[in-house]
This record gives sequence, structure tokens and C-alpha cells, in this order.
Amino acid sequence: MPRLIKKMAPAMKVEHGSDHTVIHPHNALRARAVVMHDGPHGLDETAIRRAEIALQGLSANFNGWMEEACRTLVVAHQATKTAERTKNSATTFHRAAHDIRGHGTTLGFPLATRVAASLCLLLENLPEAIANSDAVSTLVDQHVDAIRAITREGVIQSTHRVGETLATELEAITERLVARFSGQTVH
Amino acid sequence: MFSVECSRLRFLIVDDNNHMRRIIRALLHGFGVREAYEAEDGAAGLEAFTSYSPDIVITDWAMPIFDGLELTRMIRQPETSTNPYVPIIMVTGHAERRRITEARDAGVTEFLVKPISAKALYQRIVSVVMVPRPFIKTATYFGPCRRRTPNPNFGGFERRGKGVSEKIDPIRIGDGMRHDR
Repeated sequence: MPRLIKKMAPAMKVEHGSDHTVIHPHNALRARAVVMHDGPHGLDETAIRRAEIALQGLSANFNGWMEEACRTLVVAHQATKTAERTKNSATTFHRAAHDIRGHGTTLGFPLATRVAASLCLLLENLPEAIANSDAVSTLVDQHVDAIRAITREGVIQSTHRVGETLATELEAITERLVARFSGQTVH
Repeated sequence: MFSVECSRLRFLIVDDNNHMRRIIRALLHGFGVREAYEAEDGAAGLEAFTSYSPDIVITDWAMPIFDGLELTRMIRQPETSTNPYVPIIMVTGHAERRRITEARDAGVTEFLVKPISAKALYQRIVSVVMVPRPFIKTATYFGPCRRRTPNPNFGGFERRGKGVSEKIDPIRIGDGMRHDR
């Protein structure tokens, strides 16, 4: 079989430098998938529109998915507070926050994305001694509570007055804290 | 005009979040994709990559077992990978510059910061199909050329373009690569 592939494989151009090689692989995808037709160059807006409609078709699930993501976050957060707190529980909690940062806006909760992004900043950038302090622990709790409230109340507008104020405050406190302590060794 | 017939391409989606996999799959189906496989972590992703020989891999970064970066590094092994040249689109919530640099240095072809949109994903697919970058092999790197555009301020020694060119059979770079479809 390798012989057959070798026979059929198109040659590729290779340039040898003193400490590197530049390889131009055969562009099989272009040969196979690109179709030329009349009209101006540009992205296929019809394909994009079809995909947007397909995404819209899923949107009936979004509230439920957001609630599920929020539950996962709350459970993971609780696990970090138990006596058996492990590195694993911290990683799971961070991943849950990271998921909401990534998916919140797509699911229609942009403010949850903002608060989750602030939470990730907090979890990723503080030295351990600071991260474990009561003040930071309270701030983490406030982030989780804010995401719960945004989800529970169905706050889908990024301009929601209370939600926006809450997100802005949490971001500001986190940024100040991270700017002050990130990268510093704590004795 | 040109268009990319996504129905002729095979995709692999690697993401630990099943909701995100459903979202990406819905977008791909909207583009006309008929063949899309899924895996929920890097290890399963590597297995699926070997089994299904996708034309394009879409992967998350943060995943259990091994993550999207490690998956990318495994795929970009010219000696062992079934297709070390496969385009890899990383879809992630990480937006920091250092993360983008890290992904680029692992061999990611395109980087897409969430929230994901139909247009952004389609643009990445068109980019990897229409404007593929050459691959660079050095002692420490194998992956798509990391120079997107010429740097007009670069004043150092230009190492490229002074070597010897040849046409070689791809079998010498990585045995078992699929170029036959």
C-alpha cells in the first residue's frame, strides 16, 4: 500500500537553507474543493447565511446549555472549598470558568462571558499565596454568584444596567489586583 | 468568483464541550459539510485523526488528558504522523497574545478566538484551502510558515531564498501521508 501512495503522491517543492527547509506541500484541498463560477470574488455569503440559520436552529437549547454550564461552574467551585481541595479540583473549576468565557456570548449571555473572563484572569495570574487569601476567595465567590445571577435572571443584553455595572466592577477590582500582584513573589 | 465546496472536505472537531461540538457541527453543516467527526479530548482526537484522515482539524485548546496544543504537536510529527501538513484551526477562549504565539509555535494554522461566528469560521476554512502557507522544518520547529506578512522593519540577516531547490517525493518527508484522495 505505501508503494501505491508513493506512486500517486504528487511531488512537492522543497528548498534547503543552511538551518531550515521550506516545504511547499501539494495543495490537494484547493484542487478538490475550490470551484470557480461567474460573479465577483468574495466569501460565499449564502454558505455563511445557511450556517447562521443552522446555528439559530440550535438556539432553543441555549438557555438550558447555559444553565448546565453554570451548574458545572458552581459544583466545581464548591469542590475547591472542601478540605480535600486538590490541584485537580482547581483545574476543573478553571476549565468551567474558561468554558463560560468561550461559550457565553454564543449562547446569548455576553455579560456572563465578561464575568467569566474576569474570573479566569483572577485564577490564572495571581501567586498561590495571594490566590488563597480570604479577600481573593471572596472575590472569586462574587464572580461565581454574578454568573449565577446573570444566568438565573436570563440577562441576555450586554447593556443590562445592573448586570453591566456588576461586570464592570468585578473587572475593575480584578484588574487592579492582578496588576498589583501578578508575577510577584510573595514571602 | 470562487467558492470552497465544503461538501468535498472531511472535518474533525476536537472539543471536550459537547455543546461547542454541536455548535461547530451545525455551522459546518450550514457550509455544506457532510463528513464531520468528533472527539472529546486530545487523545481521542489523535485516534480519530489517524482513523478518519480529516482534511481539516478544528480543535479547542483547553481539554483533559492532553490539550489542543499537545494534539497539534503530535500531528506535526513528520516522521510518524499520517498527515503532518493537515490544516489545524484552533478555536479557543484564550485571546492573549502570548497564547496566540504559543499556538503558532506548536504548529497551529489558524487561530479563532471565541465567540465563534459563521463568518469567522468560514474565513478560516477559506484561508487554509485557498492560501496555504509553506511548511518550515528546523531543528526545533515543524509547521506552517510563521511569517504571515513581510516585516518592513526587519534589519537582520535574511536566511530564506538563498538555498537550493528541488522537487522531492513527499514519501521522504513523512511515510504514509495521504495525497491520494
